Amino acid sequence: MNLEIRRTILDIVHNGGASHIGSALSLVEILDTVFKNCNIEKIKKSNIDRDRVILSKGHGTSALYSTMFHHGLISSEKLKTYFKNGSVLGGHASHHVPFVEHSTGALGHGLPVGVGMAIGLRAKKFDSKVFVIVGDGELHEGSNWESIMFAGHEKLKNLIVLVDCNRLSQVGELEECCSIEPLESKFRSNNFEVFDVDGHDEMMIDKSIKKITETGLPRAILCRTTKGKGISFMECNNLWHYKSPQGEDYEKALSELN
Amino acid sequence: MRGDFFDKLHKEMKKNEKIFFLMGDTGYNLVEPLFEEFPDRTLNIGVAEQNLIGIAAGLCNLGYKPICYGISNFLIHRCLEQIRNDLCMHDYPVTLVGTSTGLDNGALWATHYVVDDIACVKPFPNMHIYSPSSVESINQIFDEVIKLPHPSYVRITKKSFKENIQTEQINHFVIKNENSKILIISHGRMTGNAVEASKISGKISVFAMDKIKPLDIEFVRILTKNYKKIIILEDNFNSGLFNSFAQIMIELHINDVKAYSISPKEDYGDNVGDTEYLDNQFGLTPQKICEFIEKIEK
Repeated sequence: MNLEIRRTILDIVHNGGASHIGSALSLVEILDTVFKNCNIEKIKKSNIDRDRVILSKGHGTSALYSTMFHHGLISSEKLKTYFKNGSVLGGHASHHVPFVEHSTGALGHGLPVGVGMAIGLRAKKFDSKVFVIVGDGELHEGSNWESIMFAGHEKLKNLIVLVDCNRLSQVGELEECCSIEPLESKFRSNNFEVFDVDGHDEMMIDKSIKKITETGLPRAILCRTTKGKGISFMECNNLWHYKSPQGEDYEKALSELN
Repeated sequence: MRGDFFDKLHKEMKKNEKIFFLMGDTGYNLVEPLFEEFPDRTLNIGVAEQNLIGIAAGLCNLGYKPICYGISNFLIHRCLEQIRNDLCMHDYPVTLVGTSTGLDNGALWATHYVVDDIACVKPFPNMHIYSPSSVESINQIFDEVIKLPHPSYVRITKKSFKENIQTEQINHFVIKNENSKILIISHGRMTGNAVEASKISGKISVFAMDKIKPLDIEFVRILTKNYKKIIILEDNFNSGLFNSFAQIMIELHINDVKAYSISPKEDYGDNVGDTEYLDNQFGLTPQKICEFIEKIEK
């Protein structure tokens, strides 16, 4: 478990009086592994053949910006402005932040855009990758399935979809609201290569990204995660979808991460 | 008119490698030459317009200029959030080419009327809206949007109308009758109807305002100076051009001009009919336009 990024998330969410910390904490190992698999120098230079990362569940932006900070893509001065008046670092991912490829926040947008990027990279004959991170609740949006169907049809082998399967949406458990399972067979039947891993195990996520196969298919990595991971009283507790950690809650959370 | 657009597009794609043509399974017997000649820059996304718009945004990230083709009601209404967030928020240079406008689809009925599309996309920052009146206008508009570094929507009617003169500007007089005190401002298919009405009445001028957003304020200023009775004629609810024109008149404090709207009633209706039948029902035929003119002349 990556404590360093979690401490950064807690810090900026606390200082900004922001929300969505539970959704951010389930994403940490996914985002960190994705950026470790990107050529950061090409991203910094905005090279046309760079790898691309889209956080489609845009409300996990405190995790995105914190991870980008730890990978040298956001300065500490800028990060301190998160969720504050006049900052470009808001509660949903913004393309006004350098190196953020696409603004998200309305769910079901990142995957179609990522498919477009993958098609564009293929047309220009670049071998870079497109990583799209979606939430499991987000998969209720029909637009995702339009693009999953099309990516499979087009055999976009440069597309890697990572699903943050934390099993909770805003109100309750996905299984009670509208089940999205069985995800593995749904992706597979749409011509994806599927990996089902512990979403807090960076080595497993990394192996799934790096594994060389001959299929030439797009890849879906189902990352089984815990909402609020790393802070005991936030884990699997939807109160922390919105609540901002302040006062004693903050002190307790900080002590757990230390 | 669609054929003219595709002829221009074909020529442009030969010399401009940034153009990427995407369609939502629409365009049978029009698009085939593009797919044959440019297999790497053409895609049929299928009946999935939300995906179509998202893919177009993703292609812009790679430096492409996507042209998205579909039936207007699907291309606009189905994916309004994608147009807002993925195109307009990012100010991506995607051109949405919507076929069918107004009541073109006639007896196919209300799901296929395109009468509220302009008002849907008009509030979005960066969006440019065009409604070509004629074949000549299509050429002008194509040349503008292909270079435009912003999102745009071009709504193309199924009907063809030729002015038989080379237009110098997108917005222009189609008929300038020196004796006329009444001006019809129209766009898209309605300009043909306005010209027919002018032939019958002999006392009106017709101005094609084919660029609806951004509206040319200078033209509003000039036209309202020279005409004190202006009819905005459109095959769109009056939330389209009329609404924009009235807004500019208020902003310019123009209070000595009477502006009238001839447009379909804001209702989807419950009976079907061909385009002519519907035009008649909503007062859009040349004859009905003349009757309206007689009323406001008094």
